[in-house]
Amino acid sequence: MVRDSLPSRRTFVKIAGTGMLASTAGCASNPGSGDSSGSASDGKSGGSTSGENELLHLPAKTLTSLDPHKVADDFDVVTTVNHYDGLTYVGDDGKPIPNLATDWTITNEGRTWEFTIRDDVTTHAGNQLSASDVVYSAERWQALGMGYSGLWEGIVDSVEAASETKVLFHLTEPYSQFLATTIQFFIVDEEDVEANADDEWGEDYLQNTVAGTGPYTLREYRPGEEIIHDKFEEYWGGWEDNQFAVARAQITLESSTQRQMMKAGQADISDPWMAPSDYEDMASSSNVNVPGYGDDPQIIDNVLFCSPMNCQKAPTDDINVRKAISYAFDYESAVPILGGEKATGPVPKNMPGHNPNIKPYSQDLQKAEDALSAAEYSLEEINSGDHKIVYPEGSAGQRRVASLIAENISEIGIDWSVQGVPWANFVESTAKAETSPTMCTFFQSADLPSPEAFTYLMFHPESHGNWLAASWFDSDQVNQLLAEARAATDQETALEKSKVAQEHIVSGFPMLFISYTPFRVATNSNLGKFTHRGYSGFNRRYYDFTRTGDGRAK
Amino acid sequence: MSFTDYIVRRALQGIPVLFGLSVLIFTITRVIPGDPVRFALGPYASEEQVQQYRIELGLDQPIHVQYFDWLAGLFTGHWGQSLRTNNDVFVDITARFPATLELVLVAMIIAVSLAIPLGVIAGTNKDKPRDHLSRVSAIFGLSMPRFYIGILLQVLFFGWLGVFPLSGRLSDSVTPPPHVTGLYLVDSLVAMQFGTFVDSVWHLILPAFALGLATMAQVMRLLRSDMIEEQRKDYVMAAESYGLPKNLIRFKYMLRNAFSSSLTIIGLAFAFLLGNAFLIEMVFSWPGMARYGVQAIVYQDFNAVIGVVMVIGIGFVLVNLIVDILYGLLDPRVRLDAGEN
Repeated sequence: MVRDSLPSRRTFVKIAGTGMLASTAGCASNPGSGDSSGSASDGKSGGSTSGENELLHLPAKTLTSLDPHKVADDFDVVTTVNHYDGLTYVGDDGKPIPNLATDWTITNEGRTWEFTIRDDVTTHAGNQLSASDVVYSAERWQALGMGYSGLWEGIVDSVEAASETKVLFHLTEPYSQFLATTIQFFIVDEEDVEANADDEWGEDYLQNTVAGTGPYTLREYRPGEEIIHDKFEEYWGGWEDNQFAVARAQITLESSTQRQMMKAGQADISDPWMAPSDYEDMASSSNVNVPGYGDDPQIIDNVLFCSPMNCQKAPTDDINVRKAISYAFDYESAVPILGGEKATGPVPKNMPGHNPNIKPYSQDLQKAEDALSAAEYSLEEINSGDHKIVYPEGSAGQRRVASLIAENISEIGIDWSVQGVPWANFVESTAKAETSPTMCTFFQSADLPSPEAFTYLMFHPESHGNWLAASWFDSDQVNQLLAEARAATDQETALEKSKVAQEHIVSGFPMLFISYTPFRVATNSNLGKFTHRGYSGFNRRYYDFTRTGDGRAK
Repeated sequence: MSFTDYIVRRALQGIPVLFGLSVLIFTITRVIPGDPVRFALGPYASEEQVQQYRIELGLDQPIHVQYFDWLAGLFTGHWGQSLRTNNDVFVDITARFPATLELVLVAMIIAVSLAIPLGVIAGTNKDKPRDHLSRVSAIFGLSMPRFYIGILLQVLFFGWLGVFPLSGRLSDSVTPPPHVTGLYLVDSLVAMQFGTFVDSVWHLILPAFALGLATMAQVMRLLRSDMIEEQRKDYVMAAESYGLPKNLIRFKYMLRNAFSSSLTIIGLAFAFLLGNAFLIEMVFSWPGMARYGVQAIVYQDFNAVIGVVMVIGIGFVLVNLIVDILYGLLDPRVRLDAGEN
C-alpha cells in the first residue's frame, strides 16, 4: 500500500535522466548559436555588447543603497554621483566647483549661504529642477540621519527656497567648511519621490530606484551582482560622441577574477582597493594602465596611513612615551610596505590646507632613548599590562607595519605585542578611551575637499568616540585653533588656522604619521580622460570618461 | 504507521531543531563584541544619530523582546533590516538564494553523475589501473581547495583556451529570463528562451564543477568501497552464474544495495555546499546567498547572518527529509520497517 503512494523507481529514474540529458544537451551546444541577442561567446569581451559605447567597471564591494541620502561607502558614492547631482562637484584641482548651483554668496556673518540653482535642469522623470527640490533633499537627508548627514548635524538650522532658483541655508553658527560638505549632498526630484512614496520620505522607493538629475539613469539593479546605467539624454551637462552610452558596474569581489578580466581586455576600470601585487600583475599587461607603473606617474591620494597612540591611557598618556615611540619608528622602511610618500603631518599633501612646512618625525634612537628617560613611567611600568598594537584583521600591509612598530620599539626596550582584530570590534573598542587600544593602525581617506577630516574629525574632543579619533588627543590650543578655523568666514583664514593647528598636533605626538598612500586603479588603455579628484567615489564618475580607440584594448 | 506518517514525523522533528538553531544564532549575534551600528553609519555620524538608529533597529530592547519580535517577523517576511544593504534580509536572501541553489544543484548533478560510474568502475576493478586512476583523481579532488580549483579552471578554460566565460550567471548580451523561480535554467525553459538556457549552462559549468569536485571524489570513494563489499556477496555470484550481463549486475543490483551510504553523504554535501559555496561565488562573481552570508559576517550585519544561517538550517532539515524519502524509494526494507513500526 505504501508503495502505491510513491512514484515507481522507473518513473523516478526517467525524471532524473531527462533532467540530466537537458543539462548535457546545454553543455554540448555552442552558446553563441542560441537565440539570445549578440554574440554570447564574446559577451564579456568587447567594448560593447549592443553596438553602443559601453564601460565596464569592476567594483569589489556591494552597494549599500541606491538612496543618495544613505551613501556610506566608496562604491555608494560612485553610484550616486552617476545618478544624482550635488550643488557642487569636485574640480580637477580637488576643490568644489559649481554644479547644480551656479554661484553662492555668504551673508549674515557666515551664517547664511545663498545658492543660485541652474534653471535648465530636467530630472530623470522629466520635471524641472527647482529650489524646492533642494529644500526637500536637505530636509530628507537630515531626517533620515544616515551616511554623511552627520556633516550637517547641529550646523544647518533650516533651509528655505527664496525663489524658484534661490536656496538659503541658515546655519546655527558660521562654518567655513560648509561649501566642502555640499559635494556629498545630492538632490532628489521631490515630485517624483512624493508621487511614488509609500512612506514619509520615500525610503522604499529610493532604495530600488533613482529619482535624480545625474548623467545616468538606472536601467537595472541586480543586488550583489550588477548595476546597469544608461546615459540620460537630457543631461544638462550635454554629451560628447565618445562618452559612454551604457555603464555597467559588475560586482567582482575576487581579485584574481578582476586581474584576468582587465588583462583580457574585458573590463575598463578595476577596483581601487586591491593589493599592490594585483596592480603590479595587471600593469604587466600592455593594455592596462596603472598609476605608478610603467610610464604612468604615481598619484598620491588624499589618504593618510597612521598609527594613533591613546593619549588618555597609560603609558601613552605621557608625551615622552609617545615621543620615544615616534623617534624609534623606522619610517623609511614602513613607507614602501604600502607605497606612497612619507607623511609629514595629518593632512595629505594634495589636500586643501596641507601644511608643507611641518618637519616630519624620523627615526632617531638617541632621541627616543632620551625621551624615554624623561618619561614619568619606568620601562617596567611601560611593559606591564597588556599593551597591544592593533591592526584591522585581513590587511597584510597593516600587519607588517604593526610588526615593524613592535620590532622598532623593542630596540628601546618597549615590549608590546601585535594583534589583528575584526573592524567592527575595533570600532566598538574606540568608543571609549579606556577600551581604545594603546596603539593601532588605520587609513583615513578624504571624503570632502576640506582638511577637517584629518584635523577636527581626528583630534578634536567633539569627535571622541569615533574610531578616527582613536588617539583621544585633547589640546586646548589645538581645540581653539580648530574652532577658529571652523568659524572663519573666509576659506583662506580657515586654512591658515588649520595649518597652525596641524603644527601643534604634530608637536603633541598623538600618532605616527606614516605615509600618504598612492592612488591605484587599473584602467584599460583605451579609456580616456581619467582624472584623479582625490575623494573616494568621485574618481569614478562614468560621465568623466571617454573611449579612445576602437573598443577596449586587448 | 504508513511511510507517509513516517515522513511527516521526520519533518516535524525538524521544528525543534530549527527553533534551537534560531535561539542559538540570535543570541550569538547579539552578544559577540563589535559595534556594527556605528560601523554602518560611518565616522561622520553623531552619537545622537547612532543612538537613534539603535532604537530604530530595536537594539535598545531586552534580548528576549528582540528575539520574539524577530520570530514574529520570520513568518511574515520581515527578517529584520540589513545594516549593509538597508533592505529587509528576507528581500536580500530571496534575491540571492536561487543563484546559490542553482549552482549547488548543478554541482551535485555533475558530482553524482560522474561519481556513480567512476565509483562502480573503481569498485569492480579493484587494484587495477582504472582503480588507481580513480584513486588519484579522488585524492586530487579532495585535497585541492575549491577556490583554487576554480582559479585553475578559469586560467585554463578562460585565460588559455577561451572556451568558457570567466564569471557571472549570464553573458552581458543576454537578458535574464522573466522571474519565475529565480533559477535561470528553469526560468529560461519556462519562457522558451533556449539561448538563455544554453548561456546559463555555459556559465554554470566551471563554478559547478569546481564546487562539486570534492563531493564527487567523496561519493566515488565511498561507492567504490561499498561496491567491493557487495561484490563478495552470494547474490552477485549467483547472478554471474546465471550468465547475467556484468553491467546489469553492477548497475541494477549491486549499485542499488551499495548506494545507501552514498545517498547520506550526497544529502549532507548538498546542504553543506549551500553555506560553503562562498569561495566559488567570490571567484566566479556568482551573486549568491553564500557570498552575501560571508560579507554579513565580516560586517557584523547581524540580521543578515541570522537569515542566512536559518536558510542553511532549513536546507539541512529539508535535505535530510528528502534523503529519508529516497531511502524508501531505493530500499524496500525502509518502507516496510516504517509500515511495521
